[in-house]
Amino acid sequence: MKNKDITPFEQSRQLAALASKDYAKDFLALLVMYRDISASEAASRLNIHIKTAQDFLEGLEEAGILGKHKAAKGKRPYFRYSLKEKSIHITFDLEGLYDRQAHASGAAWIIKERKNSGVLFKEGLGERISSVQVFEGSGRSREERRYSLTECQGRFLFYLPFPTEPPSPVMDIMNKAALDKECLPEVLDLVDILLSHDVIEKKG
Amino acid sequence: MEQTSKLKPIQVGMTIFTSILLGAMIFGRIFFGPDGFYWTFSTAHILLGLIHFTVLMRTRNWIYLIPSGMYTFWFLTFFPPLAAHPQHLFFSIVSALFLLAFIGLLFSRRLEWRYKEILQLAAKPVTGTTDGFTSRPFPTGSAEFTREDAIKLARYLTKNVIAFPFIESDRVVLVIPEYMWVYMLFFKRSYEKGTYVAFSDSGQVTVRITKNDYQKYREELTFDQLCLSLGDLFKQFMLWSREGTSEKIFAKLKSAGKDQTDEK
Repeated sequence: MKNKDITPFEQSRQLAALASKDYAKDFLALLVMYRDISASEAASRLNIHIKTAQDFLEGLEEAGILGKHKAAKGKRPYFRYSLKEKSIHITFDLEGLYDRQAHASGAAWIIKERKNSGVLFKEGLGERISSVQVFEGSGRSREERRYSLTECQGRFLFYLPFPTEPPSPVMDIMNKAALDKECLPEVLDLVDILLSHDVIEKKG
Repeated sequence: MEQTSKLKPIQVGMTIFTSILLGAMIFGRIFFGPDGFYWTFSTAHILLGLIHFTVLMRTRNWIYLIPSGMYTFWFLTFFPPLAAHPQHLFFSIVSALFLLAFIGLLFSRRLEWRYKEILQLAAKPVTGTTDGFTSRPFPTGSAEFTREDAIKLARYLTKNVIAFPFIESDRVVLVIPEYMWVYMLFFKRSYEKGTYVAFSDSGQVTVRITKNDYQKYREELTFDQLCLSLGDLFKQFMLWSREGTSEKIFAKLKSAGKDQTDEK
């Protein structure tokens, strides 16, 4: 990939997007058949718009599948594209999407509900909260956002210390709610959301 | 030292309801003469009779037979088309007897809703005023009871219009409404926006106080202490109910009401 800032997930996503085009199979076959090809040649061959062909070729070139070189026809320079790779592998590393290490310290966070957080909690069956409604903005531009909670998150929130109570570590709240460690990532995700909406406060 | 109630004036809705009924009678008298008054008077009384009869059916508390009967016989006595009824004298005598019984009932204070007293008792041990309101329910810890105990308590509290119960698969929820009629007369069928104490089958006791009810207090009482105190109050009710001394619940609430009167 040329763009060094792009993540492996983003790279795979772009390749998958290109491969999902209706004309992708014919276009790739064309690239295998031809030593090199220009956007206008490919467009005329596949009966698609030249801009569409151009974007497809640029996308593959960006992903490192194609190489391109400048050619001159008359006065106007243009690019010709040729295959660099004989196969394309699209891999999504799902485990890599969640940084367990970065979240590991979250278990020790000391938290409680913030005073006058202004959110609405909807109670679910059993000792759990089923959803949280937060409000963003004010007046006519005030918008409501509702988060539906998982069983783990709902039980965790049920036992979160009240604004007037002393704060507790996340792990202690989880123990109180009888949640096992498997729940920690989703609990911390909820904590992140609530922190971003100023619903809870973190000590230290 | 002069004490003041921790509560603002509450149950204003009942004053409005009574004023509307009185207003209708006055309106009837002014615009339609004595007949207009008797029509509105008797209509108001049959309405009250029906309300109390519904409460009687829902609570299975036979004392509601007294207001139901009284309002019904007042209707029969004062309804203009029945003025010449052969049994009119009988209706009048029975009305008077019911009235005497009703006065006795008022003195016993058995008909009163206990919303105010419950809020007052819950606030009594709370000394902090650091607010901290949240719409989340508060887990007040566990208590010794079975599901049958919780249902037994619920029945007693319903019978004495202290709390309205919702019997769920895993818990018994006791709602403390400001206006018990909204539940008794089927205007409300859920406790989503109500203050309640819930007894879970797991032995946990959970309390939720709504913003509306919290704002009934003059001060912003420390919220977790208030929830805890309300939970403790109902745990005490549970204990008395299990011991077979449920009458202590009524006595406790009655004494709280008396304290308020004294404080004023």
